[in-house]
Amino acid sequence: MPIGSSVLPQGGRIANRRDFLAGGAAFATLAITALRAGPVQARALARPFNELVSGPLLIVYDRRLLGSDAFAADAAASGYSPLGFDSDIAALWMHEIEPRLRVPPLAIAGFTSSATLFCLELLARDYGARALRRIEQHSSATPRLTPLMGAVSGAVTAPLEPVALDAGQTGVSWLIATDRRRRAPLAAPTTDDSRG
Amino acid sequence: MPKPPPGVTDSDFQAALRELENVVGRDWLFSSDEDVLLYRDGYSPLWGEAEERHASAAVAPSSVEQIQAIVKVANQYGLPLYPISTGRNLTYGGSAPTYSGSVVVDLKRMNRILEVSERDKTCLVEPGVSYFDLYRHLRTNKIKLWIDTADPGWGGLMGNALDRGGGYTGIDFRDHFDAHCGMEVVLPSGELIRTGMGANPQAKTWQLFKYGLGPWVDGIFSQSNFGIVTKMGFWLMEEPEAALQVNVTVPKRRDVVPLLDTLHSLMCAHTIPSQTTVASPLMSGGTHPELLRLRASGGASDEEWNRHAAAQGRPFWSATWIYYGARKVIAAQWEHTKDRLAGIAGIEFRETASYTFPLTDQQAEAVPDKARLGIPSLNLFGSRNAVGAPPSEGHIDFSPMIAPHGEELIALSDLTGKIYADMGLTPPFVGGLMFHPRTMICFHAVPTYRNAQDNQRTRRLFESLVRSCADRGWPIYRIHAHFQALGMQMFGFNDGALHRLHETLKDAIDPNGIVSPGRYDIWPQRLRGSRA
Repeated sequence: MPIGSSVLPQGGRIANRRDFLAGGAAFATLAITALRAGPVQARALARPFNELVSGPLLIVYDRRLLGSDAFAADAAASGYSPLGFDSDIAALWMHEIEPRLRVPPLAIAGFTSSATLFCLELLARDYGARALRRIEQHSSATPRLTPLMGAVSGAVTAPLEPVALDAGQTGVSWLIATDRRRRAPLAAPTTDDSRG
Repeated sequence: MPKPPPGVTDSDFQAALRELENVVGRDWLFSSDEDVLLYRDGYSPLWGEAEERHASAAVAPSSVEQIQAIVKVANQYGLPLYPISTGRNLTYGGSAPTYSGSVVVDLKRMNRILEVSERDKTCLVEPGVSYFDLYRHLRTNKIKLWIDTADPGWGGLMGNALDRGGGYTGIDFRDHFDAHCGMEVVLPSGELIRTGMGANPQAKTWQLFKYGLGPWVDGIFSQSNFGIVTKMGFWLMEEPEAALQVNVTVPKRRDVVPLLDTLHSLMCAHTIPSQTTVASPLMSGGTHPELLRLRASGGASDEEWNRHAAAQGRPFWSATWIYYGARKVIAAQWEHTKDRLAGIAGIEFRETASYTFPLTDQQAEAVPDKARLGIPSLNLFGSRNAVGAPPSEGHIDFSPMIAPHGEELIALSDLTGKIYADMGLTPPFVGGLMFHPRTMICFHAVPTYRNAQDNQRTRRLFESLVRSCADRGWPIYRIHAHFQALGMQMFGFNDGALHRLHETLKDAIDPNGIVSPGRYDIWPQRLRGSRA
């Protein structure tokens, strides 16, 4: 796996949601996929989407999953350089994702197993990042980057909710992003404007 | 709004939170429901039930001085604290406190690698340093030392060592607590101590010699609640010239007796340097009716089992380990091992992977069994990927320890198989890992769920396993926070004299009972009447 390759879209950092959608992604208004989020969690986590997502977009995909080629091609067609891995995302986390989370903002989109998403959600939350969208992918459909980029009008998904795969499902496409207002043990302090 | 800990008034709690905020700054005190929820035990066997343990708040200090100030506030208000390093050991309770209402002291911000000595093969780290952090530091700086990582590798060195976790490389490194050398601790009084040679401020051997002078106290800070450890030294393994991973299989059930006896001997002689895994692929998992019948019987004969193995065309046992060192030495070790095992009829030997170091990034990523080379990975989570797998939301580890004798492994598999079957459950994995060269830990994962009915069954199963195995002489070496009182009951020699000593120490060291009340069933005087 090439470690250290460029992953930013043309133009580097993106400042707001409209930039985040650059690359031809549809600006569709979609209700978020709610995955067994309890009512308390859903209320507690409700945020407007466009204030959450900014910064560069990193795209990762698990090469072993059916449909991963299509997901990567969709990302490439949108001007990104997706990073592939084989089942274990640890190296990508150490060398690409975590160093970038240290200097937020950052958004990450991916097509992975539910297990990888579970790991990333737990790891990323210490940097004030969280899952904003999860789409369970069935083998009958082609996973794509663009549906992840649609506007989110409702609550974000709750953390730590498991995604169990049923027969016919190939993986999960998802979007994780830092929330500049979110405080977390390893997040940049909100009082330091120079890092926001 | 956060709920105060039991026994602390709301006004005192709010005052304490304000003082904690003054200590760490507004950004590093977490008291909203949304923030505190992140410290929930995602694998809790009590998910959503009244007894589930929750934090009341969390605080993330950045220095020893801030920890001392936090401890002072806690003493003033009787505030229970629950320090965590990274809090990712989900199968033993994660970041949720042992005592509900505790304030989590999240030490992830203290993540400095203070020193790495390539010459002495040691490091000194803060509590928030993860295996990922140290591995990356060594590779980035081309330091020819290895870490020994837990698996999965997303946790922290200190947390895992203090919980007495294990890894996979050489004997001096894979018993993570045994591999530490020197610690710094904030006592519940706020006083700062250094252990071993570190008590001499001029000593140049803090990370080289464990004991210092006088009683060696490091052990009381593991699986306990006698202080907040703020620095630990560790011994690191020198990168070898090469490694050879091997696997042997034997065909019959009783073959595990000479197999384990020989492996045990070779490990004690340092011929086999690594963690050795012995498992039964035939007995683990699967839904073959004959397999389920044999396992449910709790005592099928060797003949019955061997007939099943022959019918399946599969070996009964499989063992995996790895040699590290110079190629010529490895070749001699492997030849000697084969000579020693050659008497087992039908044994098969395989060389499964060979490495020459250093590995490139691409080579490291391609290693299938990363932990055996000290490479942290998240591969173990692959078990959550299985299509069609029951949606268990997590698991807790049941970890009985046995002597590395084949008869013991067979007897344990008979007992646990029957316990599972009697509860209508599929019997577990059969095998064990030799983190320690003179014992074997026979882990298996007990699933947890997000519904009370299934979790109640899980708790009944877990308690039955703990009690039944302890009765046979196989107590656990480590246990999930919810079951620590049960676990300590299994160590009740002389009417619980050891437990009484633990609590005597607690009263002396932490008279206000502020650090991790109830951890490993060590309760402060003021909470003994209401222990969970």
